[in-house]
Amino acid sequence: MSVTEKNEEVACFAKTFQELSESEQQMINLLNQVQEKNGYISQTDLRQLAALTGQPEAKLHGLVSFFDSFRTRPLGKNHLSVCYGTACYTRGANLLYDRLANELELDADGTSTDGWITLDKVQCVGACSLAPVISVNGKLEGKLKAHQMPSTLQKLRDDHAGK
Amino acid sequence: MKDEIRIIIDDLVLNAEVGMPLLSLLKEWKIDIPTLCYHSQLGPLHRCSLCIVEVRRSGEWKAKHACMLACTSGLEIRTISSDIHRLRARAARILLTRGPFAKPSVEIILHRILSAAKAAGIPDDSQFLPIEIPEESISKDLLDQDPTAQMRQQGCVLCGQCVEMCKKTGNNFLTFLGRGNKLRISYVNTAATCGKCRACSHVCPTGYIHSTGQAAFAAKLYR
Amino acid sequence: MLANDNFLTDTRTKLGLPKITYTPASPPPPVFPQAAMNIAPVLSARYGLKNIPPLLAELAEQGHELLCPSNMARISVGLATCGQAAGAGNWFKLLAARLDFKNKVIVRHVGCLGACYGEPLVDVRTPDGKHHIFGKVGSDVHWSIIRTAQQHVSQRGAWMVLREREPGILTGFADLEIEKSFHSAFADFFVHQKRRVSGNCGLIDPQSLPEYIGAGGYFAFAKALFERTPEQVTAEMTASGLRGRGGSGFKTGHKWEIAASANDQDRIVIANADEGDPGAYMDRTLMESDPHRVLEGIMIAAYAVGAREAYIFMRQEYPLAVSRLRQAISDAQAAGLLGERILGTGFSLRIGVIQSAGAFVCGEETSMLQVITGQRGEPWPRPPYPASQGLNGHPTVINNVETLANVPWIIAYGAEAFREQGNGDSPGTKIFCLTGDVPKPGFIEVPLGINVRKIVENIGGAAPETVKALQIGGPSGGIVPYSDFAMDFSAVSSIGAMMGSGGLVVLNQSRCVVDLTHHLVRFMADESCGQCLFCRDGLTWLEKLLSQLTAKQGKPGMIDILENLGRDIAGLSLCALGQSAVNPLLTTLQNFREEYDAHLAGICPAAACNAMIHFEIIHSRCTDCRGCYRACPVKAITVEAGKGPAGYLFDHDRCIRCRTCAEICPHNCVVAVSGGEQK
Repeated sequence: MSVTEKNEEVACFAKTFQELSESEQQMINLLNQVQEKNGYISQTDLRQLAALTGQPEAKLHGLVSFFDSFRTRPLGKNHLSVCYGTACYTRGANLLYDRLANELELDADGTSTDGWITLDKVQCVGACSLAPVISVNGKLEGKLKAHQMPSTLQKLRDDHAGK
Repeated sequence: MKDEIRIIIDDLVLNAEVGMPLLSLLKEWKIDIPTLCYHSQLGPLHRCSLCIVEVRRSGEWKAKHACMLACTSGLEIRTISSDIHRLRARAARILLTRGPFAKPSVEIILHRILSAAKAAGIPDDSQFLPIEIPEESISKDLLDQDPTAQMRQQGCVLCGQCVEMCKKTGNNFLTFLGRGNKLRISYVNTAATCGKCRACSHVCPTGYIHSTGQAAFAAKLYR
Repeated sequence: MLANDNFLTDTRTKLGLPKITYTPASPPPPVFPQAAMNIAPVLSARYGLKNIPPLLAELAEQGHELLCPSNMARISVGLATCGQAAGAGNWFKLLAARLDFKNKVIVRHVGCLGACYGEPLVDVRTPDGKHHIFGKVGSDVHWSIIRTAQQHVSQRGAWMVLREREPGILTGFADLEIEKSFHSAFADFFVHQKRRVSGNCGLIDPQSLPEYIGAGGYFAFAKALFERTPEQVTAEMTASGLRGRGGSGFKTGHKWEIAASANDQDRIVIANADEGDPGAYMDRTLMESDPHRVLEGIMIAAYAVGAREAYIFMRQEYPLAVSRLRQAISDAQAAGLLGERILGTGFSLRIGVIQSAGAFVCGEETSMLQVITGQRGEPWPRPPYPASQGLNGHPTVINNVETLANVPWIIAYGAEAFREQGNGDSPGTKIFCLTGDVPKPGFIEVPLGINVRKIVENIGGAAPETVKALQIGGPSGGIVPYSDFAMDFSAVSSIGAMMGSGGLVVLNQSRCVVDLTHHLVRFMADESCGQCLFCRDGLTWLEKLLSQLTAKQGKPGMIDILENLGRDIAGLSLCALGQSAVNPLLTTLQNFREEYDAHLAGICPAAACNAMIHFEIIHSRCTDCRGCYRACPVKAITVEAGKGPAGYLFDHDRCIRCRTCAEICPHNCVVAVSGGEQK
């Protein structure tokens, strides 16, 4: 990376820092912002955050790894989460997840080998009256059955093809 | 002269400094309490769960960790009882599943706890505790992510003394990663290399760190 | 639904009119609504506020014109998370785009009325102060909604008509009474509730500061600021007996007293919005549907304990709540209700939003404080408690969002009025999220001490014989058999469970409590921060044992280990996660011991655990349609032609227990069976 690029990156981070109100300039907010911008938090991001805030890099690694929603590698093009809250679990969340996992070839991070989709489990999105619930690219769909999962995936593929 | 109060340990009435962590006091007076994560300079880290004692509350004895109790007026504890044996033995069994350990002293401490429990008539429940870690318990995704580092760093009891010591030296190269049963320790450092101070290997109770933290902890957050 | 959308767009295109786009961030500007009366003096009289700050008076009138227009109708579409998930966004778009509504009807979006099972919900308010509620809105009632709004007469399809007790005054659900009910189950849902804290939810636009004030918002804050000293405010909280609504049940007034009497003058207030209990969304709904109420609670708390900075610690999984709160904070700031020298007094307050990132343990006070200071969320031993030494060592009052939402009500109406509901041990009302195997799941607010049967049967509509057990209080709560007991702190505690934050999951006869316990223990094992050996490795050990038990690998003696290991973990853990993680286990061992024994013998009484079930066809119901045979993804079903139902053969070894056959069967003839001969 050239010096100008590096300076720009640091400046971009500084801007991220200032975008937060003074009372919100907490590390965890910064990390959330970085993840929102890029979809994940890279090692370079952490290095720069460490430099910007004067925190040891190891501490940031420890902080990022503590949480479920921070990703250290990019998501697939689509993001499908199955809710595992109590109501959803009793109404068959694991059946949905198993069916989806069987239909896809997922790597260790839950991303399909062609990078098209990431499948993961999430802990309670709070739409319990629609149990079981999945989140498809942020949009909630509820009252689902396992045998509907192949068509959910197909619809995603069709939407993509249409673009 | 700090405020002193009277506390009772094993029916002995003694004077203690108010607010002092109980475990520090017991160690100072060389009362036999097994620990793996206590360091006189780092203080109690409440991670090994061996320092179990019983404290009397409302007439009943309740098991608590000595590292989490502070000396207060009226504190009454005992360091030996049937339940203390049972609980320490349970903790020791769990810790043994993280072995084998490079330093024999650790195995000796833990096996002594087990023998003391056996002598006190506590039944052995190890049939229900898997001593061999089956493959499924190591999360597949993390094994794939870092095949060179078993997530369960066998031989490490996660006492955290190395992490604290590295912080104290000002280096800050070590950190815990993850949480729960995925908890492990990682060495993170892009600026320099470690290897000079050996503070971590000095405090490591199990000998998992035999040379440097960098060599010992291969777990990484980023591949 | 979508057909209407295209029709409208096509028509507009044909007429050469520009396309209308809906930007949800900026609600459509109100057009000439007028209100019949001045609301500010009415509100002041109600809340006992002697001098109305001019800002509040002005915004109240503005808001009131939107809430209760006397010369226009108002359509409110429920657009909280449940509403959006049910497709209410489309209805809002269509209605907001109507040209013939100009000067006649305003269309606003509101939060959650609580009857989540009935979403999308639309409320048409006619100028006479009547609210015509339409549920499960589809194209069949689309025109009824429009005609009701245009002609001011109730049309066919409304589920219920509520009327304002005093037409033109709407400060919350308590100002409404049922005039006509066309859907008795829907009326039942509301009749047993006392919506005080959630009174605005579903009635006001959560993104509108004027509407909040027009419904009486910030009047309590003004009363506290101008007519009460901080000590009097704290005394009122103590007199009310309000107990923490996040699960602890700790007396709120007492917590405030500890902080207010500290030597350290730098006090901090934190709203705990890290609602981690799966199956509970009380706080989410409050924050999405009435964010200003939460802010008002924080502001009064800060005033009472002498804090100048406050934070809201939020779950990352609630993006809508985060954005609504941030917007509410910025609107309040712009209006001078937050910031320096609020309303011209010496009281200053900043509120910041801190987003967590997915860790249940952060709902624990000291874990949250660690994360706020950029550390891993590992709790520290208490004492010291945060109220004495919290964030950076300062006295920090950490209150749950629902607790804080109670505060404006108590200051407005007084401690005695607060105590009129509930009982001595547990005064006031509580919000519950009723979910699971119940026909009418939703977000409800009831007096504490109410019989649980009223909640499950009258409000939820469940038939008592179908209910096997209740999972109360999330993964820290318990699983108890369905029986008569009061929902309050001590009654629930005396049956061995914890009322918790308000999650109430109903379980029918087909749910296995051992499997659910396994799920909850696994959840807690994953969420453990990992410090304490017994919590981290003990819960993992428990999870493994339960996994073996539900996989038909149970061994004799295992159940005793489960019990005493569970008690060890509870007794030796540093924080409430470990201390309460075994509550589901201990309550089920106490109340459903026979199920554990059955699992040891290889049978799942609920026929739910995969390793112990196989599928069979009930011949009398089968119509030989071959649906199951075609749908099975692993071809475990074969059909011998000409034999009818008897010709269907299940290969139980091939079967993966995905239940597709049972789901697909149109006559419910494929059932799971545990034990007995495998046919």
